[in-house]
Formats: sequence, C-alpha cells, structure tokens
Amino acid sequence: MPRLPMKLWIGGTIVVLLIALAAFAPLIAPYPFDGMSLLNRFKPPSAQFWFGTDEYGRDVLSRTLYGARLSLIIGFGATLISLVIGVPLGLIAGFKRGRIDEWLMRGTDVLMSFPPIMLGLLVLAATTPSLPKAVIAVGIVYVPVLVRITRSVTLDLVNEEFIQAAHARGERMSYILAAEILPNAWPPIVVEASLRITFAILLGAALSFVGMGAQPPSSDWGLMIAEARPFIDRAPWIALAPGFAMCITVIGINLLGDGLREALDPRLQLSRAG
Amino acid sequence: MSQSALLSVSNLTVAYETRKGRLKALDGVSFSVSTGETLALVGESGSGKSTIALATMGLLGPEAAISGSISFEGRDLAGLSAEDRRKVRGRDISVVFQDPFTSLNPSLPIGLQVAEPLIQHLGLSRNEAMKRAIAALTEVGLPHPERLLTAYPHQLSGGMQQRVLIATALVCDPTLVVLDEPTTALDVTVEARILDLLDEIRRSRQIGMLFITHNLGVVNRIADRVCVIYAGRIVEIGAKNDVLNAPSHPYTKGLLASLPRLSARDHQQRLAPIGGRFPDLTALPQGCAFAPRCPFAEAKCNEPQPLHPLGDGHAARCWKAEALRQTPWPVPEAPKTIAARAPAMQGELAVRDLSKIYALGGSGGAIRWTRRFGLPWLKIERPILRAVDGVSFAIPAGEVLGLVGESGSGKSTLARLAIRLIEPNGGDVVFNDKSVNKLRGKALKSFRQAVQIIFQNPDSSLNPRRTVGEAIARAVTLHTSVPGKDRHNHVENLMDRVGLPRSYYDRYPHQLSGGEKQRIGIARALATDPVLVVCDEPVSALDVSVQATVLNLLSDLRDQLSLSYLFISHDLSVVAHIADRIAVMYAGKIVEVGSTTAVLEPPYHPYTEALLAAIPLPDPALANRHRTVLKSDVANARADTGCPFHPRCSRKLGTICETVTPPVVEAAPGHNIVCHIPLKDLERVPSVLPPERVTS
Repeated sequence: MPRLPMKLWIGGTIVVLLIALAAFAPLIAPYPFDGMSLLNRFKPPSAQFWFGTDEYGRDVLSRTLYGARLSLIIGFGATLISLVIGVPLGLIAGFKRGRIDEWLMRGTDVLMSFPPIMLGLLVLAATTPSLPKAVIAVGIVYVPVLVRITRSVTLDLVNEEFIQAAHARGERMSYILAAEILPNAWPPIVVEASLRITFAILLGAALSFVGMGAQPPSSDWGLMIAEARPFIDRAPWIALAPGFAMCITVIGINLLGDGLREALDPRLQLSRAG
Repeated sequence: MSQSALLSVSNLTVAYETRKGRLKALDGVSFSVSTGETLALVGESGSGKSTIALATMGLLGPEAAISGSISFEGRDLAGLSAEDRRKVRGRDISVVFQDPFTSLNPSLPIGLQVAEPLIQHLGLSRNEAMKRAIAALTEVGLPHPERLLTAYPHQLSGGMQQRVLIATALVCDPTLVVLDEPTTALDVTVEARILDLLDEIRRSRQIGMLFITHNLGVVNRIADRVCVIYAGRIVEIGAKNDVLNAPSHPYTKGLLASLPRLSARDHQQRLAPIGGRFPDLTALPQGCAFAPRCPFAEAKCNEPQPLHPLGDGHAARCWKAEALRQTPWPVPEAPKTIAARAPAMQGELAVRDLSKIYALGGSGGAIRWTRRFGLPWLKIERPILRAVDGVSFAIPAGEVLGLVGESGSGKSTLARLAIRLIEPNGGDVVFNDKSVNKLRGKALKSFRQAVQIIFQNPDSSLNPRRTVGEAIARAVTLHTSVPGKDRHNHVENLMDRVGLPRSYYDRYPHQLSGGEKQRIGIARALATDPVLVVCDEPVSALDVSVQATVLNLLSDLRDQLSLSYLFISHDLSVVAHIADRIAVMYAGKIVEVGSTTAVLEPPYHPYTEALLAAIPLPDPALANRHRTVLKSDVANARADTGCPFHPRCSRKLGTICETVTPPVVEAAPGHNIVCHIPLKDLERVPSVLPPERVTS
C-alpha cells in the first residue's frame, strides 16, 4: 500500500465534510433557509444565531449550509461536464494533429474570446433560468480550457518512445489514447479540474447574482454575498459566512487536487517495499 | 611538466543528507593538477566526477556538507568568503560545461557573453572587452569573429557554440580550466576538432586542465594523468600510459574490457561487461565499493582499502593490484541454457529509393511565379529538409545491418520509415515481397508482429504507469496465441531470456536502472516473436559497462532466435561490433555500404575515413595517430547539389563534387562507395585503424 500524501488526507477530509454538510443540511440546519423574521433583522452572531441573520431575519448559518448544496452541485457538476467533453476532444486533437486539431483549436479560440460570464449568460438567456441549465452553461464555458490542457499534455506524450512502441505493436488509436496516454495525462488535468471546480462555483455565484442562476429565495453562496453587498458596513457577517465557506471549499478542493496528482504519479511515491 | 601544484585537492568529502540517510557523493578524494598539465577524471554516471568539478568551482549548493581542502595556487579555496570565491571563479579558474546548447544564454549576443568576464573581473571598458573577445574567438578557430559578436547562440552549430564557451573560459587568462564532459554532446567528427583545439590551447598557454569524461578514448587523446573514480572514491590514479597500458584496479580493467574493439578482423569478439549494479551511495561498504561486482573479490576486500602505490605515481585502491597486474578481465561465455529457435524461413526487409521530406518552419522560403493551367500562378516555396533521400538497402533473414551516421543524418527517420511508423514521401518498403505501405488490417498486423523496434532512451521507451510485467504482457496478448492463464508464465520466460529477475514483474520503470529498463524494452520487442528488430541507438544512453552487457545480450538473442537487426548508432565501434554489414549515412543518403570488414578497411568513402579517424581509441600507442580532419563544425552540413558531403570533405576534387551527383562505385562485390574519386585513388588511402595487435 503506497503512502498517501498528507495533502490528499486534509483536502479529502474537507471535501467529504462539505459534501456531508450539504447533503444533511435539512437535518443539521437550525432554521429553514427561507424562514424570515422581521424582528430578528441584522442580528450579529450570537448563541441563538451562530452566524447572525440577514436583512430579512433569515439565519445565515442555515442559509450557508443549504447554499453549499447549490454551490457544490454547480462546482462538481459543471466540472464533470467540461471533463467529459473536454478531455476526449483534447486527446483527439493532440493525437491526430492536422485538420481536426486546427478546427478544434479555432473553436476553442472562439469560445475563449468571450468572457466566461458572457458565455454563461448567452447559454442561459435563451431559455428560462434553472439550476440544471446553469450547471450545463458553466460546464460548457470551461470546456476550452480542458481541451487545451489535455491537448498540450498529449502533444508531449505522443512523441514519447513508448507511444511509438505501441504504434509499432499495431495498437488501435482508442487503446493508445485510453491506456497509454490518458493515465500519464491525468496529473495536470486533475489539477486543472480542481481549479475549475472553484472557478465554476464562483461563476455560478456570479450568474446567480445577475439572476440567471439560482433564483431567490433559494440560497446560494454567490447570491448571498451579492445580497449582502449593500449592508457590508452594517452587517459584515452576512457576507462573511458564505465567503468563508467558499474559501474553505477552494482550499479543500485544491489540496485534494494537488494530493491526487502526487498520489497518481508513481515517480513521486516513496519506493515501495521489495 | 612543472612540478608546482596548481590545484591540489586533499581528502575532499562531499555528503548530502537524504531521506534514506547520509549520501556520500565523494569520499576522501585527493589529487593535484600542475601548471600545463591535463588531469582526466574518469567515471561512469553517479561516480561523483561532476561533483568534483562543482566543488572545485565552489558551485555546490548549501545542502552539500563539504570537508577537506581545495588549495589553488597556495590559497585554500574552502576558507575564502563567497565574494572572494566569486572573484576567483571565471578569472583564475574557469569552467566549460557539457551541453553547449544550454550553457549559452539564448537571448544575449555572443559578443556580450564572451566579453562579460572581462568587464566583470578585469574592469575593462566595453570597447576594450570586445576587442579581447574578438581575439579569443579567433584563437578558438571561429571564422569571422567580428560578425559573431552580434550573432545569437541559435545561429551557431553545437561545435561552434562549444568553441564560444571555450573562448569565454579563456578570455581572462585563467591558469586552470575545468572541463566537464566538454565533447560528450557533440558528434565524433566535431569532437575530434574540439579536442585538437583544447590540446593546442593547453600547449600554447601552459594552463592546467581538469578534464572530466566517461570516455577512455577521449582520456587517451588529451590527458597526461588519469584518475579513475568509482562511487565517490579514487580507485586508480597515475600517468595515462601506465593506467591505460597496465590497468591495475579491477574496475579500470573492466572499463577497458567492456569497450567494443574497433578492428576489421576481430570486431565480433564477445565483450567483457562489468556485472552487477552500481552501489547505493547511502550504504557504501567499509571495504572496497567495487567488491560486489569484482570477479577477483576475496574476504579481505571487505576491509578498508588504502591506495596501494605501484611506483611512478601510479596507485590503485586494491590490495591485490600487484598480484593482478597480468590478469585480464574475464570474458563471460555465452549462456547456452535457453533453447534456440529454428531459423526464420523468411523475413527479408528491403527498402527501395525511400525518401522523407520535412517542411521547415513557416517563415523563410520564397514566393515565385509559376504557371498553372497556362496562367501565371503565385507559388509559395517552403524550405524543405530531405531527411531521407533516396535510400535503398536490403536485410536478408538473419543478418545484422548496421546503420551509422551523425546527428541529423536521418538514421532515426529511416528506422521509423522502415517499420512504417511514418509514411514516406517516395519509395517503398518491401517485406517478404509485399509492399509494406499498402498493407491494411490483418496483413499490417502480421507485419507489426514480425518487425519490432527497440528505442534509444530507456526513460521514455517505457510507460511510467505500467509495471514491467504489464508492458511485456500487452504485446503477448496482442500478437500471440498464448492463452490467458499461461501469459504470466510466458512473460516470466521472456524476462529470463533478457536476464531480468522474475521478481521485477510488478515493478515500475522508475524503480529500475537504465540497463534494466533497456532489457525490458528488448523483452517487449521479443514478446511478439519477431524476425526483424530495428534497434535505434539501443546503447547510446547507457554507461560503458552496461552498454557491453546489452550488446552481448543482443548478439546472444540474435544467435538464439535467428533474428535480423537493423542496428542504428552514431558510434561506429558499437555498430562494427554487432553488424555483419554496415551502411554509412550522411545527410539523408547512404554514402558507403559493405561488409563490416570491407567498410573498416580501405578503400573508404572520405566520410567513413573521417569517422573512423575521429573515434578516440583508448590505446596509448594510438593517441596521436594520423587523423583526417574535416572542415566545419557542422555535423551533417549538407549541400543541395552534387555530393552532399562536399562542404566538409577533405578530399574534394573540385567543382565536379559540387555540381554532379556522385556515381555508385562497386569496390568489391557488395561493397559500394558513392564518390567521384576514382577507386584506385581511394584504395591508396592508408588504413586509419591500428594494425592488428597481439593482446594479452
């Protein structure tokens, strides 16, 4: 059994905890996320309201817990979508070169020339906003980045002699891509994907802010921060709790990605017994 | 030789703390270099020879624990402050590193890089410094030094870059120059020119040189004294002639014995490799570090070994040195345990008029008016490189064809064309009377099964995420009918064949040494049960002793399995050792082809002659043998018309060589030379190889 890197343990624990908190939010949260109370507006953190309350007297802790659900769904869901679309395209572009590569790269250039938020809006604006659409929109926005990174790793790998040896054996393209190239391409892709999760959460929040993502009164970290903005001087805790939660998520996921990269790379492992 | 020691290193020990414990890179190293003397430090990778260079220059990082003294012109360098040390560096002691391609800053002009030490150390003005830089560039034999001042490194060839680095090292008139493998990255014909230059500079300037190399032939060419290093300890030191003529430490004997002999008669003699693995530097034994690999080892070798004097400053760290003086290194017998395969009935690969053209990068080239459909038409002409240009040869079943050429000659492209990893622009590859380039589906699969390849770089030829067993098993699954349950066993048999322990089945490539990785590459190629194996520089990345093991393995396998090889190397002595016939390639064309004996003896193509003459041989009697020196530092400088070799040829006849494509002349049946020079003139050229000698 190889020793797992410390980063993987810490990052993994944080992410698992976050997912658990999000999943069991209805059981853990002390109040409903949309329960308003005009008497309890702008209450600072106290024993009753651990993270205080917002301008409608809603409990910030409960809203943050529920918000984790939406944020994590957008983060992981969108990244999964961009991985599923981006990695195969990148592998093919880097492996085939020539015309296919040229077309794919110009396509990604077009997508990348739009600011991510614009692209997200473009996808969402056509139809009525909803959560699945937001996930897909954010996922598509990050496809070009993953295509590019997968392609560049593949380009390096196709010239390696073990790939040539596979050609000399008469292996099919699908085998070479899946069994020879992909396992070696994972480390940078995993790191990039873990960064993308955090970007996706932020982009989801931004889309919510302009009213294209999560709809009020449902709680989303981005939406919460956006709503808290006018009161930042009077009641900073409203923005602080989701901000802090986002911060922890980002750190946790990045540690996880970094740890995965180390664990996936046989050369970085301490030599095994024997 | 002056007696005053310029540099004297005594009891130098360098250690690093690692996770596995204290790693001793150097252990009690003592030597001295006098004014005007060249001391060569020889060792394989990991021996610590470069650490000595860095320690002398004071360039080791803070993590290195250094003890012992390095005294230069009477001053102890170890006691100097970092600032004083810096003042010595580049002014009194300068250094030339191995790789000219990374030693020069790509974004600064040459002139600035050569003049920089003058401005820095001697406080010269820019104009003054540039004048001295021109003088230095002239001294190292570079043409048009004034024009070079504003040139950038990428505009120069490797050999010219190395000359620039030597000029930079000499510009402040240092008394000692440290050269760390200065010619290893260069082609052999260019290496010969650089070695000549270094020798001349040492003589004219009377500077001391600390020359680090792994190549005993180069040592023979340049050194006065030799110091052989193994696992951080000096195992033998002495005058060059003493060490090379009468090697006294078993390791030195082994190193010399493992070199392929370059000789027309007994070139296929079995090599004598050094068995075993390089020791773990974190757990070195108290006694002789070489004992585990030494055929003469006894119990007493486990005691600490002092340097045992043998007279005339010759000493060896071996208590048996005196007794072993006449004993040569033993040559192992070919293993007979593994059953031979019936000779392949068929498997002739022929290559006919094969060409591969690469378009060179975007810019450059020209736009020209041509006509198309009778109308004026603009045509963009991109510069092209004819990597392989009309090459034909045939490898009958069971034969080894050696293909030799310097970097850029197109030999690797040819290898990939021959097994259809890349498609040719013209010509044909024929295997068993079928055109390979037309094969599809099943027929292509059976070609892939019959023809395999072994690569140069053991690090890149194996998938780092596959275990040894998986890598070999995949080829078995794909191309043989071995049933699933026997596959594991079959792979283990293949590992036996290439001499790998079965316990390696579940190891990953990074846990193995270079030689072991190369064996896996060989086992993987054999797994499809091929009849022809293309070996693309299979031993170039390996140390000499390991190289001998792999060469022996390849020739044993050839005998056992009746394989044929297309054996590619830049090293003519390696090719000559294993090949039945040799083809010499220059700038995409084969200039000479013939049986190994015929190629090694006159008549030669002028390029073959130059290649043979340039190879440094480790025999002191031949240190200053007659050499034909080629023009230009550009290996494979090519010409578009006439003979591709005419820009470098020392026997060029005149304009005919520049304009007319040379004819193929049959010197003997099967021995062809592509040259304008009449055969009888070529026959008069004396042999560049040593006359056959009686060896002990």
